[in-house]
Amino acid sequence: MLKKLLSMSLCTILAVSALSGCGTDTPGSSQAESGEKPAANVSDVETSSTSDGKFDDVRLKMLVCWNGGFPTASDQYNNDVAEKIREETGVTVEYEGIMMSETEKLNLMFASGDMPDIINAPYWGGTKGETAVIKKAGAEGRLIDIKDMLANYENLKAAYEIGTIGSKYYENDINYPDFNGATYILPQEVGAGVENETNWAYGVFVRGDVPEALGIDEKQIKTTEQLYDFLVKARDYGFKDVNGNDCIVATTYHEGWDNSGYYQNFKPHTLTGDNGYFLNEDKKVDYLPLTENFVDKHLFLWKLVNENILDKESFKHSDAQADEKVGNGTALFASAQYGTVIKSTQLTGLYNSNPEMRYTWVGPLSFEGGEAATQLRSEGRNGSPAIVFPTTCSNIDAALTYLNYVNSEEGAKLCQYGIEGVTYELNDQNQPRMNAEWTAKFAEDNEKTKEELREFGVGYMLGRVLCADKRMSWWGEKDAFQAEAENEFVKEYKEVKPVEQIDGYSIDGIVPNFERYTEVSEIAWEGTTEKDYTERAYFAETEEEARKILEDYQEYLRTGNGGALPELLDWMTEQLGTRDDFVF
Amino acid sequence: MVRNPSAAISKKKEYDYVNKSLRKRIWEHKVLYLFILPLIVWLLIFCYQPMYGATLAFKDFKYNLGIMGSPWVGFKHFEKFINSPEFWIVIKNTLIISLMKLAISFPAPILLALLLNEVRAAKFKRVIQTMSYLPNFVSWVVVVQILTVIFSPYGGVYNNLRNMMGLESQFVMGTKESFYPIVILSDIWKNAGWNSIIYLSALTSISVELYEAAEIDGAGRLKSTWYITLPGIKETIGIMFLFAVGNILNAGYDQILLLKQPANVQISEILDTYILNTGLNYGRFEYATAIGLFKSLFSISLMFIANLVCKKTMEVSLW
Repeated sequence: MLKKLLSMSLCTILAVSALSGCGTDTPGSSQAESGEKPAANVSDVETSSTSDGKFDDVRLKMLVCWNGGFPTASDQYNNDVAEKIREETGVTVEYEGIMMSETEKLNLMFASGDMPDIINAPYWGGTKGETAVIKKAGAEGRLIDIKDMLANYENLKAAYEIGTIGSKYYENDINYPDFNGATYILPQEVGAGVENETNWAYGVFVRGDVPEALGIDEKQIKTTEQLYDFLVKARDYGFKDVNGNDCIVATTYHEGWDNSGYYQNFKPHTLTGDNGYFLNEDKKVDYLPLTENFVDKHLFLWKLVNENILDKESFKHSDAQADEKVGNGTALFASAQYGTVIKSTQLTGLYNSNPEMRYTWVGPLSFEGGEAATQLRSEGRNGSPAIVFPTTCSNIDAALTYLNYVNSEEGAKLCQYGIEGVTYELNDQNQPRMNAEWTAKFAEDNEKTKEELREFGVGYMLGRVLCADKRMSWWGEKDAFQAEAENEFVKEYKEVKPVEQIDGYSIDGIVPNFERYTEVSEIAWEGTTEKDYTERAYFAETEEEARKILEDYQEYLRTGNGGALPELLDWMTEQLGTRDDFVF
Repeated sequence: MVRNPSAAISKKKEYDYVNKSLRKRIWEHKVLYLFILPLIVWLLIFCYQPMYGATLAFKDFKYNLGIMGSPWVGFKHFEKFINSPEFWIVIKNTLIISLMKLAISFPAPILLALLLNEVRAAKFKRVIQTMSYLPNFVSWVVVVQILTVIFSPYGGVYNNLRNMMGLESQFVMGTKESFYPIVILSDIWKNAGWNSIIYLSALTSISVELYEAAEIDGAGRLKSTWYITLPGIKETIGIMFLFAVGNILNAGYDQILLLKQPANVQISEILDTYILNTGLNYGRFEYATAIGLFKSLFSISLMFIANLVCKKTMEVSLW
């Protein structure tokens, strides 16, 4: 009997535990479980703020939808910065990162309805990836329309100004036609004017001892031919890395990012870039991937792969693998952002053990027409990170109040520098600068110092909440320590390759108005086909075979979906007369 | 006259039992039924309840309307998949890899089980068995990473050996020619040991007397294997074969995805990776579901055919 009783109780426990995971989450249930304040209904918003505009300790969650995680203070509620923001607004936002594909995460959230209060995600414009998902979410009722609320939040309104964002971005992506006049997107990390535009310092970088050993002035390398000659000489010299192993000649970071630096000299000096549009000899709009330029630039990469110059693993390797290759001086050349390359060397302490291996820039290589290399920018950003508010946002007013505060000069200063007298001081121009103690720490170990500052709430929030970025105008530096402790080489490189603005209306801004736009998108901009073709070409055994693969892709573009792309080009030619400020 | 009274009693009991109502029979064994209840609940919740999601294949999914509320679009997504330029390439690649696995990887655990069965040194046998099971617990991410390091053209063991012999380095993981051998060999290495367990357990059910009789009749080890061992586990092989056929379009999603390289993309794009690339990554859940449903229906059809063939030729069937 006892046996029976025991077995029946065991079965009951098993059955109950199997069923326990099947309940549906009610809004705010996860917060309730974690002992937090339960989420309020959207309808409660109006009553949740006090008469002075402050909220009564509202806690919100922001999902930072960027693959790779988001390091924060270990206690996001009790730290100097969070407490000060709470003092001003009554709101605390807790951030959470992701370690998976951004598109996949967004899809899962919007499809399941299990969404946080605020989301920050990539919104590069156009029809693919994250942008497509966010547009679908907006059009299908998953996001809150903030159009009418924006009037109360001056600092946020600045993110919509033309000049901070481009007209093309505003018309096609922020005011996406299927949104039917609603505003779901708050552009983030948009620089107000050229001086506030982030210079990403892209380029090709070479290990310092290589040009010296070869007797080449790396700063004079401006063309593809010169770069190729340099790469071949480096390959044949027999350099070794810090461990005495053979070297890889040229590499990139994750999945080939950014091997386009090697063919910089094939890129036209235009806003639409090397995969964009141009006016051909017949004065008709043409598309660069359909031309010989496209074939030639990819054949150049084929040559680099085929001649054991470009790292064959680079098309699939991870950032961690690239860090190892660069950090140990195994890769003689690397194409990426300068900061990324330097970070790899800091991970291994390469410059301490082998100061002669300090990576320096090559060229920079010129544009196709011989123009000096710059980072091109239109009248404003034409794609950016974006903040959106899902319909599950428990308190939209609190969310906007918080964002409005951290976008003020005072709030931004607090997030970037911390508390005056504790972490920073004002210089004689009234600009905030980290104090001597922290600056010395930073010069010694960047990463460790950032980690320590994070515990005070300093240095991590602003990157995902600052919308119209005016930091250069406000303080003369974009990031803390930049003026005093930014790597001098990066600083110099940014001067060598500055940001350049091209005024006018980018011609690709009219493309979404084309009747067969979706059909063109399906073949030309769906995201994987071009990559598949070109990377296959890089590994072809002969140049003829590689050329054939690239030409097959061009044929696919010309004929796919009943010739929708050539039809688009004809239509664009017809549109040329409709406005006089088109630029390519 | 009753020759065996106990047999008669047993037959009566059986008669009485069969004539009892189902409810009474269940109640009689209620404890046993209670034991399987959690599994039935699990099956209903996790296997049957989500099946309604398959209707997504015939709809245009809208976030706000959910699966049931989204509008019907008939066979639109199936038509789009079948008419897509990748359709035949993807089907061909999936079938090639699956058939190769069926032809080479499927017999590998049988062979391993037969070999282990012949080992007489018990300790040695146990060590080999344990070592052969271990790779099953290593994820494909780790397996592919190990292979990448071994075959790396930049300091990998394989290429270091080649260089020592005066040969040039090869990018083994990145060439089209090495794709199939890597897929099959790594699959065997990872799964053969674990899959051999079921055959080893089937082998224990073969009577030792049969081997002794065969030995007296002058049969050697090979002949005993051929005439006693293999027929003895025929049914297990048959059932496992049917399951393998049912899985023919599951060419191994994670393995293939990780082994995909620019040079082999034409032969490595299979149904599962295609679903991920074109469906899930772009939020086209309905399209991904349509391809998944297509795959399931195709697999079920294959299993029916294989079941029929096995029934006629090997007298083994699932139903």
